[in-house]
Amino acid sequence: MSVVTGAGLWLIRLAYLAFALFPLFWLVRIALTPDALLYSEGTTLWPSEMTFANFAYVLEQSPFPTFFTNTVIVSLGTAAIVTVLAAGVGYAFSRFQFAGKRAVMVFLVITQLFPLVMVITPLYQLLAPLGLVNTRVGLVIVFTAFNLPFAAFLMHSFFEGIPRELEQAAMIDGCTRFQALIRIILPLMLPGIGATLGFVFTAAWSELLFSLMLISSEDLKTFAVGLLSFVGRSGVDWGQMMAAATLALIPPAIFFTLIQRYLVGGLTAGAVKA
Amino acid sequence: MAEVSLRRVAKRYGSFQAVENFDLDIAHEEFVVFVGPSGCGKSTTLRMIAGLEDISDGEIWIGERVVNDLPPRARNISMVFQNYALYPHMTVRQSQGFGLRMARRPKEEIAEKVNRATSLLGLQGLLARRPAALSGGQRQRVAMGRAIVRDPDVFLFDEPLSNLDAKLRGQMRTEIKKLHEKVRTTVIYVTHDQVEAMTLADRIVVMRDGRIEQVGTPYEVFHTPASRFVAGFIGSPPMNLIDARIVGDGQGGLAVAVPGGPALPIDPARFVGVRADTEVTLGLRPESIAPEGMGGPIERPYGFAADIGLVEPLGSEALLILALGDVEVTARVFRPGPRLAPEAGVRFVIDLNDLHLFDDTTGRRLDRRSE
Ligand SMILES: Nc1ncnc2c1ncn2[C@@H]1O[C@H](COP(=O)(O)OP(=O)(O)OP(=O)(O)O)[C@@H](O)[C@H]1O
Ligand SMILES: [Mg+2]
Repeated sequence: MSVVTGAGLWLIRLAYLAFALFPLFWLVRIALTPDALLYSEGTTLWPSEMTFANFAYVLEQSPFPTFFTNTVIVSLGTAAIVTVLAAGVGYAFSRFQFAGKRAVMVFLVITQLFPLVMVITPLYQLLAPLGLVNTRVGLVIVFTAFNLPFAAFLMHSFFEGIPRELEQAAMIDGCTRFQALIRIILPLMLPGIGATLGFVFTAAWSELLFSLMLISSEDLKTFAVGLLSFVGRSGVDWGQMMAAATLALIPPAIFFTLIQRYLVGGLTAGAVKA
Repeated sequence: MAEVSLRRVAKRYGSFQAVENFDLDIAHEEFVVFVGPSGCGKSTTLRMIAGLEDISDGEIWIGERVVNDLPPRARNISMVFQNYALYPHMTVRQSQGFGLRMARRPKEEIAEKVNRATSLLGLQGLLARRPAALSGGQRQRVAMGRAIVRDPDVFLFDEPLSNLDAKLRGQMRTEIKKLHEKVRTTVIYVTHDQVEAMTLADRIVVMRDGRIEQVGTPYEVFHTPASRFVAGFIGSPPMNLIDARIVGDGQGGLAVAVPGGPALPIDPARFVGVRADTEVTLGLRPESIAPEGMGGPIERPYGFAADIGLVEPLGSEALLILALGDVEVTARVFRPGPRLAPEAGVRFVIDLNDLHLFDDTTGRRLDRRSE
């Protein structure tokens, strides 16, 4: 018997939901509040009047749609590339023995320990002669480099969750190693692929530091950098900034809705006796 | 048609010798069981035959071919894994047909073969299910179905029943035996359960520490165990193994003396080369010791008195723990009466024709028959 049951459990869930969703609610609330009321009305749960003017401005008069497109391109590109590479690395780590395997894995962990600020200058010097500063490709490369180690570990642990006997059975059933990978392992890896895609996409989507350092052209900026343009000399335009931020939440939401059915585990249920 | 031959096969993991000098010829349609304690190299040997493990040394032949360098898919074998390894995303029908689909067989042929295999195993009602929706016994059956559907040259089984409960294990054992009658194919079956080995095998290969200890029919392995190890491993309850000494019987013959107990005369014609004043291990099967009038037929009885210390009734039989001199031995009584109980000074008989002697240092059988 659980200590907390029925109604109590629901109360806890609702409280948690309220806690988690409140910032989101506040974001939308400010975006919908007319400028005139933002300070004059004080802190109320909902403004007395609502407006879509901030959204209209962001979409029609600000360069935000461009920022938006850039972010989608960079994030999708990064997520796709990292996931493919991480799948390869994770598979190799999980299924093959090779000299220096442990060392490589430890090295990958170590890369995660450095504060990112440390590498800004060297990275800039590395990318500049290659003509990759101030390009979207440059951003994708940098994001890929930073996300790959963790993504590889994530993939590795998903591969480890798939019994080796499944591939071996497939290879006895007539598959080459590659066919076994595609026909047996890949379908079972969908949750892992979904999780990795989601993780990398979100990380790339909200990245600020390197986008800020590497991108200077207005038409190449990502939305995280673009948000800063609402910080003017005379103050912050909160309404517009929140409207932009609200819009920026939509793609990750859509993305996770699309992959969520793969995020649920249990695809390998029944493969082997537990 | 497929004989399987292993010629001086070895497997090393680094400096660890997992399988050593493994020599065996398996006939077409023979059912061979590898048995031995955990870690003795049974699975490793089986997996080398399957092509899932590299061979460090020696040759493996399947039919007319050396298969050392062939991948598993080219060996025309099928394998049932201990944990079944069913494809979780496929229905029973799909996974049964998977091997045939990989071999690009025509659709009608696949359907027909799958139907034949599934009806052989009683899986008809389960074709649309995925493994998650099957019981342990059903999964086991599906795994077997997947193996027989392809008409392989050789079936490999790696402890296929060890995940089932005792009752189901017994049923499936019988079914595997029946299946082999119907689908005559060479079978190599790995188990650490000596009962499975005895009941299923045409020939048993007893393994120990990566080496073959004895190869023989169940009858041979049970009645003339080649070593102390085999004697202790095959048979349940295990053979009583007693550190004993060969002595003269005072009339020119020899006897084996149990410490603090009787000296059992031995047949000089059978144990040639056994000399007085040497240490040996004496082996006595529990069923060749019984209270007078309660055992089975005894060829050459030797009577003595002993105290029954403990009675373990098992229904159709009972185990008695008694003191034979200074050592405790187990005796086995068939159809025990209701009043069998610990008691002092009971008359027992031993069948002198069922003595086993093993060299004290090498552990090998001392017996002309084994030479
Ligand atoms: N990849 C490996 N690396 C090193 N040693 C190994 C490896 N695989 C197996 N071994 C060793 O080889 C020996 C034989 O293993 P194997 O799996 O063949 O035993 P087994 O007879 O099947 O035992 P069980 O009844 O427990 O399944 C064991 O001592 C095991 O530890
Ligand atoms: Mg094993």
